[in-house]
Amino acid sequence: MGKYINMLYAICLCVWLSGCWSANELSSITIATALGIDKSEKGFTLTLQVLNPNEIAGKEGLSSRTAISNYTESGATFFEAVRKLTKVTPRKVFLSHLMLVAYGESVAEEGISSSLDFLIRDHELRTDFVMAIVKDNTAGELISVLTPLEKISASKIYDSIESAQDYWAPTKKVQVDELVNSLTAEGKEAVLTGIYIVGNSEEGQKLQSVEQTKPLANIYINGIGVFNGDQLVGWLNEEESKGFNYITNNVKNTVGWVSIGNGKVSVEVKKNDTKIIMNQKNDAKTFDVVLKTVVNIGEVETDFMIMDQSDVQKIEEKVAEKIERICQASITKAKEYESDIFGFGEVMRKTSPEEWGKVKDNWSKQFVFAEINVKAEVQIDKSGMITSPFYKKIKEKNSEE
Amino acid sequence: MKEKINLRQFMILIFINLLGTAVIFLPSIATNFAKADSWITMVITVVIGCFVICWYTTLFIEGGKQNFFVIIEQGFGRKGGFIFGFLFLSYVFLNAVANLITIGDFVSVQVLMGTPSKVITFIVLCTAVVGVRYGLEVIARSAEFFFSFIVISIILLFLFVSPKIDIQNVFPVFQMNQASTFVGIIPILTLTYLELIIFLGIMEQVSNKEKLMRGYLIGGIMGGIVIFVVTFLCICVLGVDATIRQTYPIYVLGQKISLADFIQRIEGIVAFIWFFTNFFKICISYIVLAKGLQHFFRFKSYKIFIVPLAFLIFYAAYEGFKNSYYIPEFINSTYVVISYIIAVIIPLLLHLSLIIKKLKR
Repeated sequence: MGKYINMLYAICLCVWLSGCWSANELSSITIATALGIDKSEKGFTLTLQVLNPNEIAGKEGLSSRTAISNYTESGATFFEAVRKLTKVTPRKVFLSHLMLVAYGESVAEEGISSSLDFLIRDHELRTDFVMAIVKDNTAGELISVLTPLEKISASKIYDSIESAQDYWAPTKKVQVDELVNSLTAEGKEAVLTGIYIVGNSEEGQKLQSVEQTKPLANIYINGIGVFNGDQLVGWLNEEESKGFNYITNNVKNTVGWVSIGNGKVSVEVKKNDTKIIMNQKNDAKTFDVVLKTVVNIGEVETDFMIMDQSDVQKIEEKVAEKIERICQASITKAKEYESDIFGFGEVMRKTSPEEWGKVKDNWSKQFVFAEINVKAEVQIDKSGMITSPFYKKIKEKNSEE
Repeated sequence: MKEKINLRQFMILIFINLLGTAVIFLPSIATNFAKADSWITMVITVVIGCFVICWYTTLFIEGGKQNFFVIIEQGFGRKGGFIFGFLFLSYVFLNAVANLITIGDFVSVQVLMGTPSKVITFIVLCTAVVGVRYGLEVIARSAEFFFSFIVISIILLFLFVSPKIDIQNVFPVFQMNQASTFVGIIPILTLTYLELIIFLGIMEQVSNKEKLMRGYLIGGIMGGIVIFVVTFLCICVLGVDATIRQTYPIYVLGQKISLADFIQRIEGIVAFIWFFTNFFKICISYIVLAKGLQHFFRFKSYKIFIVPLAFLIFYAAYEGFKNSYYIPEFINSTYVVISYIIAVIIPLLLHLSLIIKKLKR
């Protein structure tokens, strides 16, 4: 008897093996890759970039359609706008593979906090998409631009932000949890990378644009947008953005040059380590930003000959000076915006909580008067495959002739 | 024939029970109190927890190493034993229900979105019914089997998430929130070591009772270390604010795993850890509940109570879950009071009366 009851149990349990309760087959969903957020009179205008699977995975029957399509809808709240999109999309929108969330500049200036809750709360969204601000244009226009090489423009932007951060350093890959952390943290303000369209944005939406070697519109990633609270207050230019990444220890690899002799020497930053230290003497508080940078010589286009260690030192000093200068430029700009994007307040909170308690209520005003010293220490490591440059020889030959 | 479990199995059950609800709720609760110092709270809790464990074992030995319900009757007499025994059982019942609710909520929020939590609750309960019908020995043996998987998952989680550690997040160490670092111990203890009082119900079935204290302590300390490391990782990787904000920070910790853009999106291992630990926790509560009823109504077998209890537990879980906000609210208020009454005051009274009775004799 017991045998039969057990069998009955087993059969009953089999019922649950059939699969997920709310299973969605691939053919019944639309995969979204990018989300553009703009403002409208009602609330939000969302532009959604979805994949056209046939054009990406299909081997045969490739039509001349684009790999991505865009839909626009507006709603009073973010969630409502997302759901209203089903009115225009053929199938239910699936957000798990989202790669990019872009804000239009005007939304960012008004404040972005109202749209963030959904991005964190909704279970369908993972936290690994990047966030950015579209400079000058609306977010809808940006994600409509077709890009060469990558058929999916969201994927292009994602990779560009990442590689620009890793090899050139004036951008920052900000994900939603980091953004929320810096929006809520005491003594630190948020930043987001800027994206902009160069060229004709209308023409860039057409397939003809990418059918030629030089597309009619291109997407560039550059500069860092500075927030105060949840509002965009201004932009750092390329150099200042780089300074920002130096101070926040986010430089992995970049290239810089210094003028020496009658030309320039380029160096490749291989390693950078930044520490922010707070000093306290009596009532005066100063911050020291200490950078330890290892560079390789990348290019020599000057008659300056690197003969011995003193010459190496000379270049090291020049590079250090330059790094210090761009860091200071970045700090000056941030002070102009009254926004402590570097997290000096946070350093203060961590080193001396009592002092922080006194200033935290008007830190953005206090930050402007904070004394910040930048000290860079540069070490030249390798010189590539050439030790003695031939630039001088060519020049000498030129002058002989 | 009495079912027996060996010391190793007992230790594993303790370890699993400690992790059960704790690993998923504690980082939030502790960090809510002590902010960046919540790992200190955890360390102190583990130390206090060891004392709690020692005390429970002494109580068990003082009572003559018998069934806990017999000990209660010895201490409070027949009628008193009935009242206090039922108070204890109601706590065990609450525990089973609460664990069932949390497993349903967790799975339906984080893993199987769209599936009603009731359905998950029902499936888990069905499995528990089968487990409890087979008895403690089978539960202990299957726990022993899954133990290695649980430990491997925990180690994998620790290893994979460790590159994301930002040690800066724990600073300033013990400068702010000094008082709340200690206040946080009160609710955290209820979710971890005080729940181990349920084990008094199955302690007499451990075969090697001489080394009971050692097994109890090792299980307790191992579990404590895991909870401590999880909390520490949550602060270091997610930061204080995010740890407080998230409903289930450890799951977000799992989502953070990304090694060389290759090993990623394996937050399932967190769900695995939690699903199994919580399942065994429900089973233990369930079996103690059935055994208590068997004792008080003088039945020959506890198995007769299993199915009716399943209906009760399911109904309580069905009605008890108001909304997602209710769980943390309950843990921080009602549950603290109930826990301290059942797991501290009653055993204290019991211990006193046992000592007094011994002295009289």
